[in-house]
Amino acid sequence: MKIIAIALKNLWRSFRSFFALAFMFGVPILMTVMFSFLFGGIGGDDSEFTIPVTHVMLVNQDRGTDLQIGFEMDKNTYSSMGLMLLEILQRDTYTEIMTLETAIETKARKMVDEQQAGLAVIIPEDFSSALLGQSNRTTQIEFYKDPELSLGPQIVQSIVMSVVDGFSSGSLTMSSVTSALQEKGVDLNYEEQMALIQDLSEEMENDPLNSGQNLNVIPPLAEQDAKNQSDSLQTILRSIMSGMMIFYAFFTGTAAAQSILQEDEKGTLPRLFISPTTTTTILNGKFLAGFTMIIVQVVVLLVFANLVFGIYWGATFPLLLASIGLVALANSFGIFIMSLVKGTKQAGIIYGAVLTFTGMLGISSVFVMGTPIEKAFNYLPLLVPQGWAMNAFTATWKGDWPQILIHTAGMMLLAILFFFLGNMRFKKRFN
Amino acid sequence: MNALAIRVQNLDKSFDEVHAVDDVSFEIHQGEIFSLLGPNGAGKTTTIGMISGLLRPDAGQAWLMGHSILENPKKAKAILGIVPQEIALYDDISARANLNFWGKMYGLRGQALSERVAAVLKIIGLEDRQNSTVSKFSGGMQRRLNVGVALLHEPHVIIMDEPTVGIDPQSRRKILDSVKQLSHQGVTILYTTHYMEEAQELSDRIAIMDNGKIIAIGTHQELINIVGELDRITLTINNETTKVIKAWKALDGVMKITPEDGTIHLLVKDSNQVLPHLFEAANQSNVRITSVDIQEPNLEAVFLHLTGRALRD
Ligand SMILES: Nc1ncnc2c1ncn2[C@@H]1O[C@H](COP(=O)(O)OP(=O)(O)OP(=O)(O)O)[C@@H](O)[C@H]1O
Ligand SMILES: [Mg+2]
Repeated sequence: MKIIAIALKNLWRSFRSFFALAFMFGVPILMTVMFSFLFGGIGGDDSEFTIPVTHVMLVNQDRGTDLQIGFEMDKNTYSSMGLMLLEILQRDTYTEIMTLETAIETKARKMVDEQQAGLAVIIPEDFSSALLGQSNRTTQIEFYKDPELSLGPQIVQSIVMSVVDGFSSGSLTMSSVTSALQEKGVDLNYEEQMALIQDLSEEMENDPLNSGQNLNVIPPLAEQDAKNQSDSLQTILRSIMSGMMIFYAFFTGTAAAQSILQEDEKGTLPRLFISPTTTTTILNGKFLAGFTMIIVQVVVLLVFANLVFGIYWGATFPLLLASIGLVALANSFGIFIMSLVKGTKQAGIIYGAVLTFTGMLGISSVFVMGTPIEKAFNYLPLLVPQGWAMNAFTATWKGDWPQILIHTAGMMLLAILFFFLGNMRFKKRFN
Repeated sequence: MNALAIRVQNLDKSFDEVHAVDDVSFEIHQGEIFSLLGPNGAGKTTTIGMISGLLRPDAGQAWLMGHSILENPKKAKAILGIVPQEIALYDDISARANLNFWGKMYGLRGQALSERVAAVLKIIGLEDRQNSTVSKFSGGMQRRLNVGVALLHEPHVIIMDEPTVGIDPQSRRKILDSVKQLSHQGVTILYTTHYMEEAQELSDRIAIMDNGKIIAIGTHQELINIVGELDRITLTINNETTKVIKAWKALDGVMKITPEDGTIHLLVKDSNQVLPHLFEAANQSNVRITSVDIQEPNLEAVFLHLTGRALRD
């Protein structure tokens, strides 16, 4: 098959080129390591994780009990458990973790919706009575969260739950905080746990108010498994690695398509056209080469990141879908872009402007992670093909099936569209 | 008609302003070496582009061994080997890898392919360097490989577009010899050049091309006969005046005179007889002749005769 001969020749040339290899594999990996240092501060033993301070809206609707009894704590009496919870959360102990504001329910929800608060804790009317009745109590407090912020609100939520636990069990322990967090799917890494414990226990020791409180901070077991330790670094690495992989996969697709123009200028393409080989065969051979190159690139980067950085990409089948989508889209986007270009002299503009801009926008969610503008970057990147790929990979490791399917389908549709347009333009040009 | 290897009929092609090929027709018989001789921009490459199916003619047709390049391109292309004017090779892979790839593009496989690659490497004299990367080759070696690619599938017809431009004498010799050898094997060759010596040495017939038109066509002798038995004299003078040109023009035996910035080309019946009179007239006009060059009739003279310009400037 001539198509395969053409594709193989292209691949052979590319994989002999230091430049091509560097851009396919070296640069994405280096960039990942570099950005991880920047954002995550990996590698430093003295790295300090600061637990984000969360603004918490507390809505206390607790009416106390029908019995009109008081609740006593540290020689003070409170008319409801809700007030007592408020008092505890207001202590200096938690100032580095949360800032507390009381409000009515509608305002509290609004603040969260507007991202001015990370969490609303809504204490129901029958909180006290339910507690006394010992029934199903923790589920009665509603936690209304900003879905985009995870760490801060999760910690606060766990603390609240532990405090409530403590109302009955008489002890509040660090381990109950961490296990509550783990149940919620947030694994604090070692540094974060230590920072939290230190904050809590220091406050406790220095604060005479707390002396009589039976808050018992127990450090977590030292042999917390390695996976837990590196979990947030994992998230950072995974985001950056997938971002870089997508960014440079599109470069590979464009470079592969650019070789059509290069061959045209070098005279080898006209020479192919005067051989008994059809234009379709020649172009398809070139397209196949690009496709194969991106497959190799994506597979190598996925496997490398898994083996060396220990990145878990998600379940196999969704990962396969996202990867196929990425390969198809990066390849056909390259074909499309290059079909618009007159000659390789303009290619610099393509790399410098178009690919870099669309690439950065597409993977921008990586860079705004944990910032207030994060939410806007849920949809904005979908303006460019790279954004679809990024969302597909994010959905893959989150195991979010609807998102996986939507974004894979989107990628395939875009890929077909770009391929159709690019192929048509190239055929017209060379016929 | 089947005896014709190449038949070109009323080919025409324009690029924007330029009428690159203007109603060109010719026929090349099987086994012939046919040269297209013309200066830069004459339209040689454009003509070849249309014959080989790379360019679509605005008008006209071309046939290779009876197959129309427009209607039956695959068959026509399969019997054609082309040596493009610009070196068209993958210079980041080896000579052998190039030949293997191009062989496949002409449908060669396996045993047949490796036999042909070996044979071609021998013809172009690159056996020892076959595994070197092409970019490390000298210009001449690259040209030889550029020719070699066209020979792989043993085409019936080979078109070579100025295959010897800018190379060392040895490589040039090698290419010219291989052209003759191919011709001995019965291959038909269309050879373009702006070196009249090459056209003269190789060709059975020659077409002279200028400004997109074929202005003369025939054997070397037939073309020479156009200028008759005229000798060609080229003079340089220190001071070009209309007076001396007029005086020379009036001389007996001067058939044609073309002044060109202090260089004067003359076609004369017998240089021995005319030359003394030229000096005499120069003296009378106070003009010094600083060099004299006498040539027996050749293609250069034919071109000059037909166009009033030198083949090479
Ligand atoms: N693709 C093109 N676009 C515009 N003009 C062209 C193109 N190709 C050739 N021409 C013009 O057509 C004319 C004939 O060019 P062509 O290359 O056929 O000449 P040539 O005889 O091969 O010259 P040379 O000896 O320099 O190779 C020239 O004036 C050239 O500028
Ligand atoms: Mg030319």
